[in-house]
Amino acid sequence: MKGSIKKNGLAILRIQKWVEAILWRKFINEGDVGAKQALFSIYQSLARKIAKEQYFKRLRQNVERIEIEQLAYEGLLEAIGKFDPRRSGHFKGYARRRIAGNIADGIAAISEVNRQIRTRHKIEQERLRSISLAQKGQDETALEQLAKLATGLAFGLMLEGTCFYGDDTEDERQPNAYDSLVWKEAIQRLETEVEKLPEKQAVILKQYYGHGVKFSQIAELMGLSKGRISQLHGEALQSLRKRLGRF
Amino acid sequence: MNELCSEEEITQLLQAVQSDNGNDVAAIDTLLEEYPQDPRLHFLRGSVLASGNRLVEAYESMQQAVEIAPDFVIARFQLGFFELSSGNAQSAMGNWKPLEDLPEDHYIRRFVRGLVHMIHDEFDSAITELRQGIALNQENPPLNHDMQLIIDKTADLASSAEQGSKSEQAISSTSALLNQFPGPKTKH
Repeated sequence: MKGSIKKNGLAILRIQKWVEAILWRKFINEGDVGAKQALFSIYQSLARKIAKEQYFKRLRQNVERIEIEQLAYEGLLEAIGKFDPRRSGHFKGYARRRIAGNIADGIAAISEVNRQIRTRHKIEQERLRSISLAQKGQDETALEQLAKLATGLAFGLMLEGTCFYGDDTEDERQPNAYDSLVWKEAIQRLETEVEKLPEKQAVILKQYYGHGVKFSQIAELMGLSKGRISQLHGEALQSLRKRLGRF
Repeated sequence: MNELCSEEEITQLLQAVQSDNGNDVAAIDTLLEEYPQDPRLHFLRGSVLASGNRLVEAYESMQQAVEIAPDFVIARFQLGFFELSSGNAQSAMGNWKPLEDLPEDHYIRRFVRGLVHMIHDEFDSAITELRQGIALNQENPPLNHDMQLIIDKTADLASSAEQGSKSEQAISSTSALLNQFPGPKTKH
């Protein structure tokens, strides 16, 4: 019988609500950062779903979707930090209220001017700083530094197209000029190499490029400083560049 | 002051809990204030909380029952089952270790053995042990129901890899121990 069963025994016995209960207990009682990350991952799709709903509700308000997603993640992090399963009932309902509330509050707090450009601009600046800090060699010419910077940014672009983007809106993405065989193969190689990175670096790349989670939010999630996340991000890209030398 | 509440108090408590559909632990907590070291009360509390999906507290109550009474067989089994349900096989097997000393014909021993086979993907042996446990178990019918669900799910997967989620919710009824509360199983 063993050969014909696709799932393993432990998977048959596993019950999701118990998995979550033990994660909550580890996070709340022991401050286990891994448990917090696991909880964030479990409910990340809920945050994206709410962000998507809110985006379509607010089309007239001219708010960028990425900005709403950031607010949704922020709300989710707050919800995880404040939830007490001993008092608050089911997390999903609790998180839904907090995420929607954070989106509403966040949008209200943002000035109308420059709203759309600010988030993307911040992300691009954040990424650029991280790459620059990590890749600056002592004896490099300006041109060499620029080449490395460009490589790092190119990896960022590619990572945004990897399967780490586990979105519920996959079907909305249209084929584009990058969907060539060569591009797909390159992305597959990149995905493989990301999996080989140290765990923290891989988590950062997946959350940052896969789900658009900001450095500050990843920092909160991992219990590290934003500067450290930026540093690890830069190191991860540098490591990828070395491994995929011909890019 | 007695450490354990009387049989009469336990019986009254069970009636109160069952008439309340098993969702309120207030009556148990009242009794626990008087008998904080009674493992049966912690076990009952854990069972009620689990049936109400208050799983973090359920786990802690069950853990408390086992800490107070390491020989409390059904509580130890249940604690391990909670851990196994959360995917933590190592903790489950650690908690079940003392249950290996039970007699061969004890249903809990067979269930443990069957579940350990499941952990190791030894499905034929797992099903055999679980069936033997069910045949031996006369005192705890709800547990038989849960083990049967595991057997069914395993069989389903063997016959069709596409079927997978049939008993995810149903297996959790192991937590609904109210109707099976077997009374004291502890040396305390």
